[in-house]
Amino acid sequence: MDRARTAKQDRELETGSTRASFVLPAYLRVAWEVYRKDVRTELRTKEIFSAMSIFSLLVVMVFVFALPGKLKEAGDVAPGLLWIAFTFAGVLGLNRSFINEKDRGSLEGLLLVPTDRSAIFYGKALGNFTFIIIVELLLAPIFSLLFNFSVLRLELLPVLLLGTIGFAEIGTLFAAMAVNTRAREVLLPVLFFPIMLPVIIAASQSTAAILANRPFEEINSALGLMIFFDLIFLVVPALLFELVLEE
Amino acid sequence: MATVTKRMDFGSSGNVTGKRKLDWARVLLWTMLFSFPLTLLFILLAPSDFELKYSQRIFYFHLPSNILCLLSFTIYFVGGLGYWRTRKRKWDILMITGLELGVFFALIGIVTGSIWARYAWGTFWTWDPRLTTVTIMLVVYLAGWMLRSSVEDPNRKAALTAVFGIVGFINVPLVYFSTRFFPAGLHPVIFGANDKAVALEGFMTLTLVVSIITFSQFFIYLMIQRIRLENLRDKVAGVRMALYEDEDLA
Repeated sequence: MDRARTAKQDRELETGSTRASFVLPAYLRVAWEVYRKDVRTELRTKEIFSAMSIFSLLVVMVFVFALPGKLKEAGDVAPGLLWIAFTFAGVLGLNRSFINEKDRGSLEGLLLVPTDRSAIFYGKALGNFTFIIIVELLLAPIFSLLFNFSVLRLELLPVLLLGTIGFAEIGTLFAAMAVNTRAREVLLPVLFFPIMLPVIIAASQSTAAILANRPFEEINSALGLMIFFDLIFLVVPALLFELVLEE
Repeated sequence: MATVTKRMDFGSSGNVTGKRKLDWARVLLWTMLFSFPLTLLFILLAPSDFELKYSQRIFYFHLPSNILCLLSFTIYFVGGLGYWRTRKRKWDILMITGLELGVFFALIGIVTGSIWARYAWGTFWTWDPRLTTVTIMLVVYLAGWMLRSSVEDPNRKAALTAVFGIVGFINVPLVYFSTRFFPAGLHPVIFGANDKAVALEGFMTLTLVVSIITFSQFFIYLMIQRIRLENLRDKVAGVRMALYEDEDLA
């Protein structure tokens, strides 16, 4: 144990990172480093974040103008529109997460990590989850403002989390798949939306139920479906990731 | 593909020269010549449903094609698992077969169901849980088809198809259990000891079994031919490669 710690500290000295002061198994460490790398790149370039937030704002504005000026029942359409905006914005971010690596030629470097490649998946998925949830949390107040219909409710947080976890997991897998195809940017939504559809349906239904103050029992099965998808896609992509990134 | 180039035999497709092998596709084709009219006879003789009258008979097309559709996607899934484990071309061929036949039978199922729904429920389309899940499943597999056509490298094509087949299979149980999870829908539960299950009369059950057997015959025939087609394509690719090699040498 002691020796492991010193070896790790040596490595930290070499790489110049001393922030993580607790010992992580190599596998988790790789995932964590991938995540940190993504966040750091994003903090420097703000490429994904700015594109996603501006695009989601534009989507909401298109909705506002495309729908009749005075919606009698904003509650009927708002949950669905909110999730459409999240989904569109999310795909934009997901697309970049692997295409950037590929275009910069850093994907090969990433594939050289000495652990199982599923660690890359977890790191990337966590990164995508972070970016998407931040954009969602920023978009919700703006959405409420523009639609004059508040979607800011604390009870929505679990729904948002469950939906976004599934979103990040499924999306990261498909982004990794699409990056090696011909029409990669176009293919991602085509692959991603159908599989994601049950989660989107469940998320917008439970959002609608919560906003309308309907009883909690009504959304039990929708929440269950989202948990089911989240768990399945927590495990399955990790098993298949070797195959996805095979050269 | 390299193995194909080694044993180059032009001309025959294997069943012409030497000892004549039993060609299952041909056997099936001939038996189908009898089983199709027989099934049609059964369907015409089966008693009409009390409420749905004559329209209920489309059920004998509807159910078998949907069962075979789910079976095809299961075959695709199994092919995906096999490819994941072994990276062998034969699993890839099984995947293509499952994917294409699944989409084909899903379309038959949806079209027959839609026609039937017009008479039974008064509308061509409604968003009952099973229709929703089937539609999602069909769209998922159409996307898989697109994925396949947008990759050029054969190994990568097979790998991505396999991943998609394994991941996309999540929809199949969803379709099957949709009538049980969401009992508010319009589709009845047919199989299983369920007090809500729709009871079919004796002769109706017999007709259903006969039509399932006939459809399965058709299904196996298509499967054999699809696998054969893919093998022939491999062979053509091998021959072509060998020809180009010769050109390079000359």
